[in-house]
Amino acid sequence: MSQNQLPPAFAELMPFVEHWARPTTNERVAARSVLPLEEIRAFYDAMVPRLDEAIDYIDGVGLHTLTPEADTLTRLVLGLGQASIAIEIHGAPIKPGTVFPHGIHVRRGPVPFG
Amino acid sequence: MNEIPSSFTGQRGSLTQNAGIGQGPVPLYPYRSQAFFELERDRVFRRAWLMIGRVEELPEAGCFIVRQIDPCAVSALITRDKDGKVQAFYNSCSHRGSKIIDVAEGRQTRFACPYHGWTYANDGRLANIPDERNFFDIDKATCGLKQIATEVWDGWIFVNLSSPPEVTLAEFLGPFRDHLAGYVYLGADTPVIFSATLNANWKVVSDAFIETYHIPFIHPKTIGPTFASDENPFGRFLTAKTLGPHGYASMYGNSGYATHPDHHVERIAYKAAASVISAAATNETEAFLCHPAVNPTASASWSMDDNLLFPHVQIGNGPGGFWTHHFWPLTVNTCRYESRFYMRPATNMRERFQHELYVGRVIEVILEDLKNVSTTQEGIDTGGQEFMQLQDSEICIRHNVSQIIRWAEAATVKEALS
Ligand code: FES
Ligand SMILES: [Fe+2]
Repeated sequence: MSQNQLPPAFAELMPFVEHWARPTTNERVAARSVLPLEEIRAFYDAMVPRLDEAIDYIDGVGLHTLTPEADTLTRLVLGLGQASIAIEIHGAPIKPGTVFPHGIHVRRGPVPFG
Repeated sequence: MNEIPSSFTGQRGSLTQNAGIGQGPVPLYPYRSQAFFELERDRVFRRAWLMIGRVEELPEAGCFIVRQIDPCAVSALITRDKDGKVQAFYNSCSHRGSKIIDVAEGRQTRFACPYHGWTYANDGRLANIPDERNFFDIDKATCGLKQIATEVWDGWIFVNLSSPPEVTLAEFLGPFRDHLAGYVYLGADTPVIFSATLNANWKVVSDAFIETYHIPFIHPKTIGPTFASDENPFGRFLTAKTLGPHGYASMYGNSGYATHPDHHVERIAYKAAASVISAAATNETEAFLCHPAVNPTASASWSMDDNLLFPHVQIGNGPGGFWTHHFWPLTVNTCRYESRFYMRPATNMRERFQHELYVGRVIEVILEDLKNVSTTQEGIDTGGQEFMQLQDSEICIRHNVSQIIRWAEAATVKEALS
């Protein structure tokens, strides 16, 4: 599937694409909320060292003129935003004591990929 | 401005006393009584001007939105006609009363009722009746959509279900108008929108957003460290004032907050925020931050302000722009919550990533608040407590409930506003 390829320089992140490179905020919240913490951490640990570089790559292409590979990378980087909530805020996939789905619906997220 | 900052420790603050709204216990029956709920519906929600959205939701002639006005069971069709006029109508056909449209928004200048095809123009006029000749001298001119009183102030759309309203929108807003006059609406056409249906009286939910006393307990990790500090351990308000039935509060922020060194993603996103984004964006944000209603005490330790727009809306100001919360009653112990965080679309990935983290955190904070509201309602519903004991930083709760009771008891709106 060509829309799920990454730029060659980021090829090592391919194993994370299927779960994390989602098109909307709602889906990224779900992606983080249903995984065990160790799997979220594996994604986080692989992404953090490449984050600055990935953002620069996307900005080099242009956020509003993305190539298919940069499109996938953008969705993957946004997935890291949700993963960081589990790792840096809760220390758990979701806030301890809450359930998922939680009933808060994002009717419209930030653009693009909201 | 003539603001009096509250003290942060020791001595009780004087915000409530200065507002002259009493200091005694506040009754809980408005949160659980069915009889009060009905009074509130008829005397507050059917008589007050209700803010239902912004004109940017109808960017040009031919646009429409449909909004539900709970608890009055009114579906409202709001249109912008060819002259640019924004007007609300009951979503109900003049033939046999059916709803004429069942989508949330769109663009169309004619509305055909799905039942028998009566068709209306977007200024409400009845344009066509299929097989009109089989009716009995029907006067099409009197069979348009029924209007709902509508007024627009500073881009905010208000409706009033009284016909005619007892007071104008200007009279209803009173000093609140001056308070927000000249406000800068950053990102007004691109809100991020959240909604939820909740098992709590709408005021339980609204109250959760107008005090910071709960923050160290309910939000210890998400925003606790940014709202309180050693200087102000319980996050007491910077200031608060009542403005007729409306009001505002300015909230403390921990200016010493620093990102934890292990929080790599937050650190990288924060670096993006600190970098130069664009001159235009910076100037606009600056103009917003210079408005006297934004950080009204000009405090170096400021986090946000909450502007209370009676009866059921809050407009928040933060360092990056504004947001709204709507609390729509459904039943005595259920409500519909909607919030809109207005933000300009990102122009590059650095900004977009920062937006994702910001919105991600907002969702978690709202989730923490909303998890707690059903617990609060269940406690209130035990009937074990007759009253709430409110402290000085809970002034907005005291003011809002007392105004709701006042409107529910007043024979006229003029009396409620006097
Ligand atoms: S009810 Fe609308 S056309 Fe009959
Ligand atoms: Fe809260």
